[in-house]
Amino acid sequence: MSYKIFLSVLCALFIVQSPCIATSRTSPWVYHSRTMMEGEFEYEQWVTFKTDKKNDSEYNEWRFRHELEWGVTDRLQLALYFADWRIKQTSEQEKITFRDVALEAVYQVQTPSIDQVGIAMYGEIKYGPEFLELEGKCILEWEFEQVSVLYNVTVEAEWEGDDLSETKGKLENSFSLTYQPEPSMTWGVQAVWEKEFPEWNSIGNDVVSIGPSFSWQNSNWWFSISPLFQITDVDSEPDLQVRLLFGIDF
Amino acid sequence: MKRILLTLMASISIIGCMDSISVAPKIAELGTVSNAMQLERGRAVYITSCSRCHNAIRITSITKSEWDGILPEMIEESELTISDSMAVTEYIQAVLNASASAAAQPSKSE
Repeated sequence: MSYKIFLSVLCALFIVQSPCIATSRTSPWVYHSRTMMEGEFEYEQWVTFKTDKKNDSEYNEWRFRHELEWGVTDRLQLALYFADWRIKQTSEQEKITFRDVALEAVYQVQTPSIDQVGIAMYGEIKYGPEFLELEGKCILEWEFEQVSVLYNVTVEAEWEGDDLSETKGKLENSFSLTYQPEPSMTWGVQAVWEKEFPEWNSIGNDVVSIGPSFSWQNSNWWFSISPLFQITDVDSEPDLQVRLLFGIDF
Repeated sequence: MKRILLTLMASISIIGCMDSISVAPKIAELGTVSNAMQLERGRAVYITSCSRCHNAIRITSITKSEWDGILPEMIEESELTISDSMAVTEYIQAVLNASASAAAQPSKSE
């Protein structure tokens, strides 16, 4: 079932057509400092598959995000996640859950180029049934001819439960190194290092995942895909995650 | 964990040492030019507008005839103004000319 959905999404990528320019993301797990040009719109589809938890052999999860991005100015980009939803299968049950809607803003402080580091600041608020999250991110980008390096540091605060009484913090460092053999294609490697702070008074395990990435763009659409493999040994976290992003510019 | 961080830092350091200047040479590297301000503007357009969608490519890695086909397409996709289009076209032309002159010099001395 899971693999059929995944194959269907991949097939859809090669069928859809649309006029205009693509503003692609080369790394599904790491944000870049490039923002859309003023007046541009883009639809972005996220599909994330998580599997292989040591503490639950039947765990499989699909996460979907439907997102609209808008270039307010050449430096400011707003995005609306109009639905984040999941299909989660565990040894106890299988259920489909609507998670949240969200608003995201990215402000490009400095344009990335061969002369200077790209810098952008990112803020996001998510709200859903019994769920609220605030997220802040600093994005750095270095461009060296055909090679790019991305670094994101992210801080998240979450409130969950009936009265949003369960709190949690999260710190994430993510890195990406990509090579662009031609302007329409990149491949590379990404790494994500996460740490949770339950109730803000205890420290969770370090979870580190690493994996390859591939992206393709043409004049009207783009996609990027990356599997991440957990290299730490945290039983409650998936050993394999695959994320596919697909965008169409209007 | 430390190994991962060290590997990443080493990678960034190595990449940082790579030659990125000749991707889009600065105007001073082009020799004597009469329209330096226009070329400065063209270089700025080249390195920032290209980077909106992809890394700026080394100008001399593409021949003049290939640029003649690619540049109009990129100008249209980047939605450049007429003056920015002229500036970036002049800059690319100047880089290609400077590269051709430099390549021709050793053969003159022989």
